[in-house]
Amino acid sequence: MDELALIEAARRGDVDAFNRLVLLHQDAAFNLAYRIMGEPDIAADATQDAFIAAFRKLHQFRGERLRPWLMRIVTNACYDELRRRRRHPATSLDDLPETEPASESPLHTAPENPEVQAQQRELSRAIQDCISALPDDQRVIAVLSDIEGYHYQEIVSITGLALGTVKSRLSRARGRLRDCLRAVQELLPAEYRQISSEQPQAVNIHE
Amino acid sequence: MLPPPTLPDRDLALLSAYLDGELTDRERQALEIRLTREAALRAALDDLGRTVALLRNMPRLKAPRNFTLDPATFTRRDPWWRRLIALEAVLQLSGALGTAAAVIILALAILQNGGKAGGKPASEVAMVPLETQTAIAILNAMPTSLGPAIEEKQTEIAYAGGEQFDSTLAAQSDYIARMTASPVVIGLDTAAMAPTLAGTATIAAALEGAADEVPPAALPMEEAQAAGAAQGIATFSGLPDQTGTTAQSEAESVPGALAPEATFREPPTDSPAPAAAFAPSATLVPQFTATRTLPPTLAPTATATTTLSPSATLLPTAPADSAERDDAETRAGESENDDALRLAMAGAALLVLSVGLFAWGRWRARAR
Repeated sequence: MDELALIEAARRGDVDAFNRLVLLHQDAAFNLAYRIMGEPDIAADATQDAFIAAFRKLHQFRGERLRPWLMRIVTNACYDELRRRRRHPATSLDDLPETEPASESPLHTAPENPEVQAQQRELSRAIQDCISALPDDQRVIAVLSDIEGYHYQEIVSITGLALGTVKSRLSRARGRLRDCLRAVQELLPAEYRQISSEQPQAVNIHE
Repeated sequence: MLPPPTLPDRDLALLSAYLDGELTDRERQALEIRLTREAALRAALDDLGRTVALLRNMPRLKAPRNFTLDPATFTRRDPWWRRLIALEAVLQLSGALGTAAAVIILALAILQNGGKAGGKPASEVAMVPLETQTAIAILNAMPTSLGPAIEEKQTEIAYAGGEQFDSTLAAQSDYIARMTASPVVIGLDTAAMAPTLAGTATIAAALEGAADEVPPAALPMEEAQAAGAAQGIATFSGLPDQTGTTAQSEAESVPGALAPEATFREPPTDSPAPAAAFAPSATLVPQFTATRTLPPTLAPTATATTTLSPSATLLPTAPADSAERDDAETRAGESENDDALRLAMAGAALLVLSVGLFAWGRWRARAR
């Protein structure tokens, strides 16, 4: 059953058809939520809320690709959770004990070397910390663009922001991340350790 | 290590867009020229590039659990009561009810119009020829008990033996009226009438003293009958005050006009009864003598049925009240027609509205 048929069945109230769609998109949805929220449990709650909201709003889906439409709902669920946490600072992200994600193992890396795995997990955690340190608005754009890989126009569609706003927030987020990653450069792989205060070894063509 | 020079935000935006291929051709060419000339800009571009690469190489995580929904908790269909008050249900229900009401209204309109078109309820007056109505009206105007009897279209002229005859004028008139039946007495197409009846009518008119109202000349009687009738009238002119003896003598002088079909039966002992006999349809023998009982043998049983011919000439024009009645009936008919039309239009409008509401409700239900 193709995705459109599943959507049509789900629209008519077929929960089993909707659950098949959930299984197809839940990894991407959780990734987005986790990178935005920074905590796996909070991200899981936001992801579940997003799928519940998607099921109830399925009648509004108008034929475009399901993934961007779903990511829009996940983003909004994360915004809602962030606003809730801002109103109740006691439960802010900084106060939560850091927990390792259930599975931080990258999908595309063969875990043959435990030391490499450990290094990778630590690097990912450091990067994630830098991402989490971003302002909420910049973080969402940076995750959508540089982690999820959406193009500018897709980000405009997902967030409803103007193109110029998306560009400026992304550039500022990248600048902050660049500065943050300088602090953890000792954790960086050798090829990334040049992100430092040193002058780059780039060749000067005029020399 | 000296910290790198702070990159202006504008240059940071240019480099960021340049990395994503989001610059225009003109902007890209200008930036590339600068990159060849400005080392710091090139360094900043490299830094930015590596940062974006790190982010893009972040591991893709698997969902820690399934986020599927519990069918028992998330059944798409709302509770029956919510579905009942849902707009979709209300629209469909109102549309269905409105359609049913519209059908009923249209049916009523059709029936109302069809009932009118099928003809007015038959009325006694309508079924009676105009001439009859007129004759009845005229006779009713006569100051006599003849009126009521004459109103009948059909008169059964029969009597059983032993009927008592009153010598009073009223009784006699009524008696004759019953015999002659209805407006026939006024005088009609004699071809359609038994001459006897015509003659009888004349006699009745004379008895009532209304002979003046019925110009003998207007009565379409045959000459013989006219002569006889005239004689009859003359003979019977004094009848109302006469008793049987007078009737007897007068009966003798009854000309043949009343015969051979008229029979005035006299007491057999007094005089020979004229050979005249009433027409088969006339069964009563007028007795203008003292109260007497008709011999049972004289009791006829025939029934006279009189009808009016449309060719009556004596009759005046249609009375005004009849015309007014027709006009009133026409106006009533037109009014009923208008009502039926308005009803049909209302029914059609309600039908269109109801079907639209129902379709809207179905569309919403499907969209959900």
